[in-house]
Amino acid sequence: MIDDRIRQAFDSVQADEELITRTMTNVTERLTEPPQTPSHWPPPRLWWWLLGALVVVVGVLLMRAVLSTPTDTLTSPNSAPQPAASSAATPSTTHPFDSRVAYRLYLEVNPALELQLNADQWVVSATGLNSDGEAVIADLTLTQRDLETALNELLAQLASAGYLNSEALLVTDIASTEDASALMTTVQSQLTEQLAAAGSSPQVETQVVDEQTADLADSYSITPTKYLAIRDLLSVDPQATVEQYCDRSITEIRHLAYQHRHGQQGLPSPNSGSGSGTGAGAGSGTGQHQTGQGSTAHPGRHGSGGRPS
Amino acid sequence: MLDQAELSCAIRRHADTVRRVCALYSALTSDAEDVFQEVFLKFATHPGFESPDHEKHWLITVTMNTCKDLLKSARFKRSAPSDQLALYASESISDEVTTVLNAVRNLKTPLRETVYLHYYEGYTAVEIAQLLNSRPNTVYSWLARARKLLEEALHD
Repeated sequence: MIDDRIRQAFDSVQADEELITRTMTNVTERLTEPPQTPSHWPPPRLWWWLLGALVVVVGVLLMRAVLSTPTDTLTSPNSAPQPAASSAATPSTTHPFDSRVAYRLYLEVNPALELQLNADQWVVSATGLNSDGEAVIADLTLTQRDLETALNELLAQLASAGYLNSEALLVTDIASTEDASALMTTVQSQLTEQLAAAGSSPQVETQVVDEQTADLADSYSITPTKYLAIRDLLSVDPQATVEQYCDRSITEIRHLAYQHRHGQQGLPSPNSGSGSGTGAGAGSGTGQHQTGQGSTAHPGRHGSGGRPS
Repeated sequence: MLDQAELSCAIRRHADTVRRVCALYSALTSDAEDVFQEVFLKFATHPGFESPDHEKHWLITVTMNTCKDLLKSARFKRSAPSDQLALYASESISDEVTTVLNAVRNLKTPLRETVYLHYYEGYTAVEIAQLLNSRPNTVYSWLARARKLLEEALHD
């Protein structure tokens, strides 16, 4: 009974003509369609692989670029820190450095040295006038730097070596055929500023000397101030020679001259008293002789500028 | 691949069988149309059949699988709520036929396929076991359970 009902029910189910027609049409259309090409070429997964490979390649190139950076441009923990002003102080490479000497600047605080400057007050050369002076500038790069930077490094080196104590005498001479007043002002302000910053308080003398005196001092490889001090000593001791006192300190030479004049020891030092302009150079230089930070120390009791024990 | 004339002839020859298998799963004509396209597209691209019986077995199996895929598809689940399964698209179907088809369609798979293959197509339990990839004794069991359920559903 159920068999017949099932058979009769399914007999009634037939595909109508419309369904057959649509099926024939659709199947025929799909069979005659050209083979579909992939809509994405390369396929999406390949795009991801290519992107990943590109990222890896860029990363490797960046790493190689970083690793191939010259080591001198990298900060090494063992390398000495560069002064902040040094890079800014380097003259522009677009203009050639003017190596013509316009000024000669001498410094002596036992170590004696000479800086030759161009008209822009940049260091053309640095020379040690004695063995201590040569030792001081041996570790420094002063050439082709501006005066401020050079003085900064020079004073830092002198201070670290212990030369700039309160009993020292720091002598600076400026020799030039041009007007050196501007340079003298610059040097004085730089010395005052940088010595104060370094906490040093040596007695400071700054003077401008003529070219002839500087040339004579150069011939003995001493500073003009020392040359003038020796000349002053020779005026009271005709038997003495310049060479004889080249290795003596300026304070010592002045003290000897004082002794010859007054014939006794223990009198007040010629350098004593603030603002005294009676140094050995008085009357021999150009008259621009200034003494700063007056000291009451007697030159005979200690060697001026000597390395402290 | 079949040419257009051969394809037309094959569709007309097997359209009713495919439509009946479709009726086991869905009463909607739109679903049957989708199944027809898929089945006869595969039929047209089939390399060839060993015999008419093989051809018919192949068509029934492919239609069943296509209908099952349709039932599992999200589109079918959205567009064919269960109450629509009780309706049949053809207006020429009588209440008696609708009642019997709904009773068969309400059987769980593979009972409904077994009922159709045995009571309408006349396949033996062994042939049904081959078609449904099962054992003959299991098919006998399915037939017994299906018959019992149909008697309960169609009992007046």
